[in-house]
Amino acid sequence: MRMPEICKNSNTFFFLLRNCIKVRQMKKIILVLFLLAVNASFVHAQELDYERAYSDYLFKLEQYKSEHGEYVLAMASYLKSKTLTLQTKAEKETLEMLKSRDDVVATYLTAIRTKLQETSGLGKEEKDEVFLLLDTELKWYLDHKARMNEGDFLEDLVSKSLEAKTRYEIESKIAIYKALFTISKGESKFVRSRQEEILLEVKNKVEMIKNEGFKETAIIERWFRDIEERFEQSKNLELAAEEVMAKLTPKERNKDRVYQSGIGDIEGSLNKLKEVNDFLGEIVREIKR
Amino acid sequence: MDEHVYKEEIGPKPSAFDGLTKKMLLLVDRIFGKRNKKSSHSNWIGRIAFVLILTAVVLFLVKGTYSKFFISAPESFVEEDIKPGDDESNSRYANDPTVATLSKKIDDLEEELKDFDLKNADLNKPVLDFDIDFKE
Repeated sequence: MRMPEICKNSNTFFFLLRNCIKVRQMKKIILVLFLLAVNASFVHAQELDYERAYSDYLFKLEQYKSEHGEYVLAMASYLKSKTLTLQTKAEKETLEMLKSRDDVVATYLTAIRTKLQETSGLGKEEKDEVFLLLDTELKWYLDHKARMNEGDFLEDLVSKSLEAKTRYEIESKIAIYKALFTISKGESKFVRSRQEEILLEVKNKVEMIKNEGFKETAIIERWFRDIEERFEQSKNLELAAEEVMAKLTPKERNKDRVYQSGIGDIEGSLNKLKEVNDFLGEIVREIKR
Repeated sequence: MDEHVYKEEIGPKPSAFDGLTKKMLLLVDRIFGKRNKKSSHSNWIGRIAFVLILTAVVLFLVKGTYSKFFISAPESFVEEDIKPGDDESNSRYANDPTVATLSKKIDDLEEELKDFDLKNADLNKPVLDFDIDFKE
C-alpha cells in the first residue's frame, strides 16, 4: 500500500507515525467493509424467492415441451424405419427429453418449496415436515437425471423413465399435494389470525364505549358470539381437512381425490372466515351508527 | 313642461328595462306578425306568450346542461341502498380514529379475500409424459 506524502517527511516522522498507521488502518477497515458489503449484496442476489423459482419452472416447462416434440418425431421415425442412425437419433432425443422432464419436476418442487417458505400463518415445524418431503423428492430427481448418460440404450432409457413414473405417482405426488395443501391451510390460518387480532381490537373498543355509557352495546356483544362460533367452525373444518390429508399415503390409489377433498374442507373453512369479515364490518357500522 | 304634464301626455320616463322589453316585443312582432299598437290587450298576450316561451327555453337549456343535477343525483341517492341506521353523521363514534382504522383493516382484508386462490391454480401439477415405449 502506498504511503501518504506526509508520512515520508523524516522530521515529523515520529510525530506522524501513529497517525499514518491510523490512516493505513482506516484504509484497511474501509476495504474490509467494502468487501463485506459486496459479499452481502452477492449473497442477497443469490437468494431464491418464489417469483424467481416460478419463472425458472416455467422456463424448464417450455424447454421440456420442445424436447418432447423432438422426441415424438424421433420415435415415430425410428418406429417407421428401424435403422441404426434413427435408433441413435431416438436415443439422443429420448435422453434429452427425460433429462428435461426431471428438470421440470425439480424446478416445480423448488417453486412449491419457495412458495411454502414465503407463506405466513404456519409454524416452523409444519413447514419443516413438508420441506423434508420436498427435499427428498428434489434430491431423487437430481440423482435420477445424473444417472442417465449418453451411453444408455433405448431399453435403459425406457426403464429409467419407468422409475421416474413410479416415483412420481407414489412418492412425489404425496409431497406435492401435502405442500399445496399446507400452503392453502397457512393462507387460511393467516386470515383467521388477522381477524382474531381485529376482533380483539373491536372488543376493546366496545368495552370502552360501554364504559362511557353513550351507546348500548348489548347487541354488539351478542354478535361477538356469532363470530367466535364461525372461528370454531373454521378450525373444525381445518382439522377435518388434516384428517383427510392423513390418508395420503403411498398405498392410496386416488391421491388426487384425497387432495381435492382436503382442499374442499379448507375452502369451507375460508368461507366461514369470509362470513366473519362481513360480521366484523357490520359491527363497525353499528358502532358508527 | 313640468314633470306632471310630461307624465300625463307622454307617460313615465322610459327605463332600461322598458327599452329591452320594447326590443323583445319588436322581435315578437317580427316572429308573429305586427302587433296592433292600439290594442293593449294583444300587447299583453304577446308579452305573456313571449315570457312563457323564454321561460320554457331557459328551463330546457338549464335542464340539459345540468342534467346530472336534475336526473343523476336523485338516482344515485336511490342506488346507494341506504339502510336504516346508516346515517353516521350524528353518531358519537362516526369519526372515531380507532373505529376508522378498524374499518380500514376489515375493508383491506375483504379485498384480499375476493382474489383468494386457495387451489393455487398457477401451481397446478405440470402435464408430463411418463409413458415412454418403443414397442410398435
